[in-house]
Amino acid sequence: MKTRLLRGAVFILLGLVASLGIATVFHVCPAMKDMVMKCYWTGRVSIAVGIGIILVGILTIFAKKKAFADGLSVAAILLGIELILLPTLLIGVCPGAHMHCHTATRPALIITGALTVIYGGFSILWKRNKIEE
Amino acid sequence: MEKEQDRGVGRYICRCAWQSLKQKLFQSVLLGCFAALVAFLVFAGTLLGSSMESGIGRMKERLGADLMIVPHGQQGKTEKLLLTGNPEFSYLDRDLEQVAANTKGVKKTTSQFYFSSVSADCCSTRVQLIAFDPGTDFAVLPWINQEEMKKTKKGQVLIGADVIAQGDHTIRFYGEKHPVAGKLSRTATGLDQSVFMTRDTMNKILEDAKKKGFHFLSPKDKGKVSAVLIKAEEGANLDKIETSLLKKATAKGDKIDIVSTQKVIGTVSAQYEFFRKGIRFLQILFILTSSLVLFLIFSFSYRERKKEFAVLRIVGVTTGRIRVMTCTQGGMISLIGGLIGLLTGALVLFPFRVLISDSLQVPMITPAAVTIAFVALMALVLTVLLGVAAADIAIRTLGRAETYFTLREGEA
Repeated sequence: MKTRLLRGAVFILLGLVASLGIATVFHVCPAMKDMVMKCYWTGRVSIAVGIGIILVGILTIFAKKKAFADGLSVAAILLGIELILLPTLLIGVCPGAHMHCHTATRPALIITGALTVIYGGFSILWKRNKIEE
Repeated sequence: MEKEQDRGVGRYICRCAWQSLKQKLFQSVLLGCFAALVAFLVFAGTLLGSSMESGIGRMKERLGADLMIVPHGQQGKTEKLLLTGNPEFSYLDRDLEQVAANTKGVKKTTSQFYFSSVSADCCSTRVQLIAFDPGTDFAVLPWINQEEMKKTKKGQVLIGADVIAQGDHTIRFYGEKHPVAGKLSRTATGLDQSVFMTRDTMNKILEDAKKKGFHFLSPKDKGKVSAVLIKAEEGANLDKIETSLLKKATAKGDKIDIVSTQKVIGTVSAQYEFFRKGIRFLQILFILTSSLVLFLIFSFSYRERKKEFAVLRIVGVTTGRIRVMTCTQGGMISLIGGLIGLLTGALVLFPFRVLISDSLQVPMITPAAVTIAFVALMALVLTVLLGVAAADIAIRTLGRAETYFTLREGEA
């Protein structure tokens, strides 16, 4: 239980950075009167992806079978990849190098995504043959 | 044969140290956290200081003018322009350039015109547009590749290091595309977020702006400039030039302010100095605290394992080898912690460097890869040495007791 709790907690933490972090510290540029910039949509989608990672983390805590836990890790890896692609390829952020979304949101999403992918992969490889009953 | 035996003992010691670290996971994690903190502070603090130092150095190089004549009340805004590139515009009479050129101690003068793009145009942010006079300029041209400059035709622009051109190497201002002739090297000042052009291009953009309903110049402002830049002669007294210019301008009926770039740099340097002292204080504080905490945790841990060490002594393991084992343990945990600290430092410092620089309002230029590697190595060596030293001191203070009494301790 302790191991499962730890594994799930890491995913929950990463999900919180992608959702709560993006809504607060690593926020996107403030919306203008008559214009919605693309970073606005990146922010909204990343909050949804972050909530997805939190759900994966909660399920991981209760996942007793290794195969199920692995499936959740794969889901987390895919969500992590999405986090990386959101500010780089899928939607993007404002091109101004000193805009808040460029200096804070973009690196925060890429780092969180990369850590989610690495940790998800690590979770699958870790004690690969062990089935937790 | 003897060498092989030594290697075997070494491997055994490493395995023992690793096993004891794994057995006391919570304690190991705590030790690792403190080691990581030391490595993080030494690495990130040193690199941050060095980045700021080179940023201020580059800023000193790049602010080619010694003095800038700006319209009355624009001093603060101009300082802001130099530091952050925040677009503000204001105009003064161009005759002042001649007045400045005739002042004693002035070597060169040139004028610049500032205006800005609108948010929706190029980068979803306003960009400062600077028109310079290629005939007299000494502030922009030395930093532009001459080959690029020759290629610059009417309508083309040069962009600062932080301005991003569109895929087809153009940039859009007031609905019109302008080819980008070149990109300036990083200056770590507000000029990185500016776009440079000749006066012909400026007039074209102003016309486009007018069509879109943006009036930067009223008819009476035609031919005016935003600032007159002054390069003083070597050793000239800047205060005297400043006073003389103010007198001449007042006599002419112009209200002006004079920005001394040295004073702007001085303000930034003072901010950096304050920050550097704070970082140094934190580094020393955390190194001392972490050393003490590492020593205390190792002491408590070894006190608990006194009997284990006594048994090892009885089966023939020498005190020296026990010491080597505990030092290996200290080295291992501080190495792992140190690597985590370095990784965290790199993850905070490099991707967020623009955010840090903007928040602290100090220009920053990332040091060369060799410097970064050197600082990382130094931080790691320091952390490992601290861990080994703490473990060694802790085991030495324990090692004085007699093995027999240690083993029988607590028995009735």
